[in-house]
Amino acid sequence: MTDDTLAALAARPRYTLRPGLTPEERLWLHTVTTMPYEMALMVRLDPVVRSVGGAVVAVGAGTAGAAAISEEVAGYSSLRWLGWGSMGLRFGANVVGQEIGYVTQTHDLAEAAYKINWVSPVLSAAGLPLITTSVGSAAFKLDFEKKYRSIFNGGVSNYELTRDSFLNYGFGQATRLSGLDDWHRSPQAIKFIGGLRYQISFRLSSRLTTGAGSTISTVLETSNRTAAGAIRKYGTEETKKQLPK
Amino acid sequence: MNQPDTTPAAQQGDRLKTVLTTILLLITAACFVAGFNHMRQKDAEMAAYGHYTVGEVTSTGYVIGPNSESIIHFTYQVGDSTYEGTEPGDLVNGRTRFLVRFSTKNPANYEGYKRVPIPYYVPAPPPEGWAKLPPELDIPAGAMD
Repeated sequence: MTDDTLAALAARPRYTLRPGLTPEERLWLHTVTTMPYEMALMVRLDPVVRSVGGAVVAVGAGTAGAAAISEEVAGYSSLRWLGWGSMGLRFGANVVGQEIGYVTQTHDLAEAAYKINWVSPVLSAAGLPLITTSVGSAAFKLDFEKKYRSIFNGGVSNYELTRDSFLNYGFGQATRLSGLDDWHRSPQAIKFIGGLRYQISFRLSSRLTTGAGSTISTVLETSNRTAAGAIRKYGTEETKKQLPK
Repeated sequence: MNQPDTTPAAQQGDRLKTVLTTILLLITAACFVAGFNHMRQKDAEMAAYGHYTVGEVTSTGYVIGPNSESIIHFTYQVGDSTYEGTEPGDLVNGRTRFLVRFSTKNPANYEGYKRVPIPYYVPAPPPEGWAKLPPELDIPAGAMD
């Protein structure tokens, strides 16, 4: 080992928890507080660990990339007109979702509306496949605060584009594969609605049951989509905290 | 007599979806108008009463929503008061001090420029902020667009 490597191994971090930590400092603090010190150094500095980790990531990314591209092509070939109703619903849900997200950070309705990215609801309403919407929302921003930002004018860095696209896509796909997106159509959901309708018809009138049946399924569908979205965004946030800059 | 294409239950579901869509689109229109008005008010105030000061980053976060992105929280001082602001995106090269423009009429109105870092050799701004940008400041091309 060279003197420099020995010095790096022996060096203790001097970062302290304080406001305004850089991402590198946050990662380092997280690493040293959750792992034994020597193991943390090994993960960061050992070339074998880094090479094996890199190979796993490369093979995984290659396999997943091929599958994602096939799905994207299939998505484009089956692209269809959604109808104004569904497009309006998707557009509105996207805007309201963004507004809620920004309000949690700014605590101000007007300030949150000022930050909404209007490219995202357009892509969402168009019903485009997942890669396009994930990358498009991350790469292009059109809001009242900063006007136009994109990877082309330096408003979005390559790191931000890559991170946000991957996380959007990864968690979108995970939510879809887990069946959360379509849970309202599953046998369990249908059984649940049937049971609820039976209880209503048993206790109330049959006319009310007809209306309640369709109301329950719509409410269930909307709630399910909201819950799935929240889980996805929570996972995105938690994963992002673990990523190095 | 023509048979209806859909069942009454499905028609009721369609009606409910129409109501939901209408509500969402009304909120969308309200957001658009609120955002546009906020922009016009800020732009007018900045042009007439804009001063500059230093924004100090206090934390970073991640906005949860359909357009997930990082967000920077910062504070800036005007007179004896401290104001809070947010700026979209990640820190630029880990720098935690950057230029902030605020309105002297309503100091809570601000505009952050995270791509214009304020090095420590730049003298501290006066309590009412700089009326003009200090000459020591090196502003990268396009950073204030």
